Amino acid sequence: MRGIWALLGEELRLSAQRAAWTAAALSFFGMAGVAALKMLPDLLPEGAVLPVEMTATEAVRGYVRTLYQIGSLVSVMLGMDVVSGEVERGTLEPLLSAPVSVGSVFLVKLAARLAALSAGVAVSAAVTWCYAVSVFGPTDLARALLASAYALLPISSGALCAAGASALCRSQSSSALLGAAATLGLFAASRVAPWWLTPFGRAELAYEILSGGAAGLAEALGGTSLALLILLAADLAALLAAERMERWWG
Amino acid sequence: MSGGVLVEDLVKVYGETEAVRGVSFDVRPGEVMGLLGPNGAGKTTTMRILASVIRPTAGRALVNGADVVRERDRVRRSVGYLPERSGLPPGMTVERYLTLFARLHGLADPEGRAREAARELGVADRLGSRLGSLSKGLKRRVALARALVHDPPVLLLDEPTSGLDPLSRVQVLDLIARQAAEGKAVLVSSHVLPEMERVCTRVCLISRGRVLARGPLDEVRSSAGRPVLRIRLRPRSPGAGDLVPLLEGALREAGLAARLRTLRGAVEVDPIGGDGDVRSAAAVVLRRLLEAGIVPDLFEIHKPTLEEAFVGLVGGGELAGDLGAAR
Repeated sequence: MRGIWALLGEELRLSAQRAAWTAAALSFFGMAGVAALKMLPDLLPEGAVLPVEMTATEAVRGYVRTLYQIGSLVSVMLGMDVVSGEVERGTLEPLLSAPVSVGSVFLVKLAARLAALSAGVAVSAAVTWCYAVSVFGPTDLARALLASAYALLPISSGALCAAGASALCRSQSSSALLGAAATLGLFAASRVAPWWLTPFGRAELAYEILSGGAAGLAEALGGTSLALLILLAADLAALLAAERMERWWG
Repeated sequence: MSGGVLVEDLVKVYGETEAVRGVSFDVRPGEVMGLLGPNGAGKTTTMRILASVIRPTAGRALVNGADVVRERDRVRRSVGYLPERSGLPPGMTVERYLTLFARLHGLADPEGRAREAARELGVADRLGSRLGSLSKGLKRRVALARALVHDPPVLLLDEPTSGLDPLSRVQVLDLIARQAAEGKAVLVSSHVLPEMERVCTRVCLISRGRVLARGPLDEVRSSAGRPVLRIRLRPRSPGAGDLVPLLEGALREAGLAARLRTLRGAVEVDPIGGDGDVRSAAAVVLRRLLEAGIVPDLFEIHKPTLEEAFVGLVGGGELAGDLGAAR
């Protein structure tokens, strides 16, 4: 058990760079959104009615929308090498010859990537909030972070889908394609699927949090968490099946 | 058998490909066993089964008394495994990496053991270096240190000297011999047969998943034929023209029936029968040469090498490319 904690520590250390890249990418898109909102009146014809309010809250709302799109993509990229990346680099074989189970190695690597995603989202939310406040005036930082934290749950599904795909594929590119397809499918299905899938498509709940209300938050959080647990179970099933079929060895 | 490695009728099938077909051998504590064969012979698959990374389709394998299928955890604690690819994460330092594996094996003083293993492999001065910045040879040494970090009773080394310079090769071969002398069972797979001759006490030759020969080194080597006597005189040296009649007379005297053939400027005496042996015939030939005032440039009893046995058993055509690449 001590060995697994040591492995988690090393994985978290190695994930610092991933977290930095994630924060940089999401901050760039967040700040670009704020800048675009600021320039909006100049782009519209004179006398036209603004489609959105020119407030910091609206700017942060735009950032949350970006999180759903760009964040999901980043999430897929973080998850795509959990197993197949290790297979490609040849680092899985020595690990599996040590007295640790493949399931614990998988969970440790996935946890480190989710930690990198969370850190990246937290930093980018704070950066975007600072920029929005400096441009449009004050808004509530706690709500901005809470809305981002809520959005983090559905976008984590990208990493989970890609990690499951990486157990089944022998190359990172195949894992990325399969993971992205699964994530898109999940988001598309959320429009028509039963209650536990609907939170994936409910970006508006994050906006409600920003606006001071959040009806159905507990239900949505429960639904999203359940959906993520089901995805995790599917990942582990894919992993054990792949190990049984010896997909990783030529 | 409680220690070492025991393999019985091991079979591994990938889809429709039989990678290993009924392989059996054993490795005793204190000996180095060479697992030799051309590319695709099934060496790496056998190594992976013994390291409990993959499961056999049929057959049985025990490592230090533990079954590789039912007691995987015990097997993994007993084995130091060096895969064909070093497989080192580029972002970690040597020290952190070796310490991690010491922790994964639950050692009491992981940092101390990591430093000790690094010292043993001559990478102690690179403990702070990132793995990605090391040369191929140093990476191989670090991977070997990883296999030794928990001081396992069984070592499985797949191409341990691959990528090493000549001096490092000698050091690694000495290390392997030392590990066996300490009582460890060592299974080494390699293409470089002269190296195997240097460290192995027994060998197992496999090809296309089947065992072709196994046993003590001398026994396997002798399958390539009997020792031959090679004599070469300097070109145009006095008595060069009399060599063949002199040899025929000496062989008659020694009671050895032999075929004489010329190979790269030397005359080779290849025994084919008779009462005498090549050693006593060599004594007679040497005496007669000296009596005739002929001093040979080369005079040796050549024993078949492992490489010759290997080529003879596996088939020259299949091996030509492999051995050429390995040299």
